[in-house]
Amino acid sequence: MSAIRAESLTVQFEGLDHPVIDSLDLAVEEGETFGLVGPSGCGKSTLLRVLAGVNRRWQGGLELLSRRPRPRRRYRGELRREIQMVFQDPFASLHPRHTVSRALLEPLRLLGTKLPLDRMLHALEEVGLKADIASRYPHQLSGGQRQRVAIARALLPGPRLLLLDEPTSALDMSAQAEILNLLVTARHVHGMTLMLVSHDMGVIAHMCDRAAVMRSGKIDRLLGRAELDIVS
Amino acid sequence: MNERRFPAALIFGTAVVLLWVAAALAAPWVAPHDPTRQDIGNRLQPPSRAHPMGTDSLGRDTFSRLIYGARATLALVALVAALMAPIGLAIGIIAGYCGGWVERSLMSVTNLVLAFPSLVLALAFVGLIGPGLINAALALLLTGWPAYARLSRAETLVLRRSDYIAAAEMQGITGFRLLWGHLLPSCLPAAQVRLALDLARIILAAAALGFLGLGIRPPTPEWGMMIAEGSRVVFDQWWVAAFPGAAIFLVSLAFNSLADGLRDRADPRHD
Amino acid sequence: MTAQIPGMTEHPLLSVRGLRIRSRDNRDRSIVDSISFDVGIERVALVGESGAGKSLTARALMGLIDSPLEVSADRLQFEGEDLRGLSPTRWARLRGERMSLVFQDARYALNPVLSVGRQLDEMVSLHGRVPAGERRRRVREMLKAVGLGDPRLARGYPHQLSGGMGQRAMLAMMLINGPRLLIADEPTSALDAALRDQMLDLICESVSIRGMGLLLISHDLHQVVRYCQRVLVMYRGRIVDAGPAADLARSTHPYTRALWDCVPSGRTHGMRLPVFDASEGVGSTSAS
Repeated sequence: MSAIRAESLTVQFEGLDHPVIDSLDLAVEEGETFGLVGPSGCGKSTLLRVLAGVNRRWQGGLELLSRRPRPRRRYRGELRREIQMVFQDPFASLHPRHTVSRALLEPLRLLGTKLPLDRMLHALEEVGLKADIASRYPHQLSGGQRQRVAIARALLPGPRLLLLDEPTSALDMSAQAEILNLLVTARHVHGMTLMLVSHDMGVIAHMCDRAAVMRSGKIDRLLGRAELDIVS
Repeated sequence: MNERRFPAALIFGTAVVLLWVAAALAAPWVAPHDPTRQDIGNRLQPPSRAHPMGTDSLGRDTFSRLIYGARATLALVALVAALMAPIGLAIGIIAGYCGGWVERSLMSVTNLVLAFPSLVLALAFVGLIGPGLINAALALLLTGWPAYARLSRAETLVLRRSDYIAAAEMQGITGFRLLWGHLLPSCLPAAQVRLALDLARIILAAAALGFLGLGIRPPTPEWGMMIAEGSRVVFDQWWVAAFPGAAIFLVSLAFNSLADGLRDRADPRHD
Repeated sequence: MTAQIPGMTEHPLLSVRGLRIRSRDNRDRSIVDSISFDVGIERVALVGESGAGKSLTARALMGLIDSPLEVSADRLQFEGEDLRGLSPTRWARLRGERMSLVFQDARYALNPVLSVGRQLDEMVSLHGRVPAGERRRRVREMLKAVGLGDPRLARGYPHQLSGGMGQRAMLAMMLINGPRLLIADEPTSALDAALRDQMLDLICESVSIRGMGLLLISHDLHQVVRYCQRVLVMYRGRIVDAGPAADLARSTHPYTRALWDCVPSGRTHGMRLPVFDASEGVGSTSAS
């Protein structure tokens, strides 16, 4: 079953000569963990944001989880719930003026969850955080803790596709290891397809079944386990 | 006391503002004389035991008029503040978030109003619809909101691109809930500081309107009007204009200090 | 103080004994708890997780610790001079001229309203009377040495530089007055993986050519082992392991092992990465 199918996907920003994503084709199967690497400016983050429905100015063909989203339209309902994203800088993706509890309870209430408080505590536990963290603000947490909260939040709607934009780049080596372990467990427990962008080949080689190397808005080549196994 | 959390400016500003509010609210019990009671035989008396701030040209006790005058100023300022900032913030946030023609039209209106000198516009407005507390408040409100719209639109434009707004949208948080719960809180610190500064300006503007006879109608005392009356005799009977003038100065200064103190506290980059 | 004791060197540039950093409000708890080490004309690394106290140590060495934090030490010497209780004037002479610090993000070190060339020029004039022609020559040479030789870059402003170029500009600023010791606090953490090696190559080369000492602070053990001669491992304010870089990979200290083994790669695919279980103390590790 296909999770992502992109055909001739193009994204052009105003005022730039070249399209940021240039007629790109991509196919990712459900249950896969797919990596995206490439130099700064190659379009990998933009691609992720297009798939997430955050960047809606694109052209071409896109099929996500058997649905066909249209450009310029927000994702709604099931599609919105089933695709979630973890951003690079947890300090920037958690609202600085909201406590952890607010950051998690608000989406839960919107989802109509019964007993949202219990669900929130369970979510915190799942990512290895203690309940007392709920009353804290993002600036009172360490980088690793913030990223865990961001992951907990992304898992709340029960996504089938989880997009990760450099999830560990802002963390030190040990925090990175913990987050990667957490993602592997969550992937298994929730049965998710993962799409991971990173500039660190080690992270890609550790996490992914396959990866694509992007350059100037296009996919340069694909890497399978044979090529990834030898990455040190 | 931690100097960072409670800078001197904040303490001074808050103290004076609270004193002013207290005086205004407690006027009937604190004022020694009836502010409207005329006593022509006693007119233009210098400060004395009976009249700590002297009497004006109609023999009314300046001190009592000052205290009662605080009410008028307070009512005006409260009215303006309660409406000016929320209206301006709402317009700016909606403009910044929606973009497109909504933004363009809202900002055109904003810029149009901003193009006029605020006091002149307020004067014209009051001249048109007549003097009085509500009208004066309305006039000042109509010329004051654009600054907040500008401020919140600028903030919203930046925040619109931020990851945490994107994250909220991914959780299905959109529309009013997003604007109120996520965008507005980030605009508040700047708005708070702006408001405190604006209040200083509004007090002066209200006094100006009063001075020109376009504010609250007599015989209700109002500081600006008191200065107008006192200005005719200022060289010989300085007290009639000096005390209300000092009161305006002090309260204005207090709001400026408050704004300063709030800014020091609110700006996380200074921590 | 012989080279055999890990952490100590003969003829050190910088000599630290019993360095402690505490908060004035809570003197019982030391954030940096009595650490000792030397840095000579060599490349030494200070490695540990975020929050271990590495950056605070770097700042203490440069006299940049402010209230409410306090620094105390049994010995804190640079080229024989006691750094404790130094006057601000004396610090101003030392910093940039004899000891320099580069950090993670050049945006915080570079003045956004001055061109790169101007800032370098200013650095030179701050530390001595040098005629304009000579200053220009030094600035040109320094920029060339860090790979920013294109004259347009000297005229450019910091926001026009990419991340990597900004770091190079910051390095140029910190080396131009010929300091003896360079402290580099996570100089590559904000850069893409591809650029990190380039930046470290440049730093090590610059330090080598000038006969300087280097104290490299990082959270990446693999990285420092490649570039430094000696490594000090810091955990929760203490130095828990130290030794020649070549030996660190084989260290039996549980924390060092955890730092070493936690790095993801093609070989760790499908396995859980070992993480240090702090609840079991520095004396043990649990590969969960």
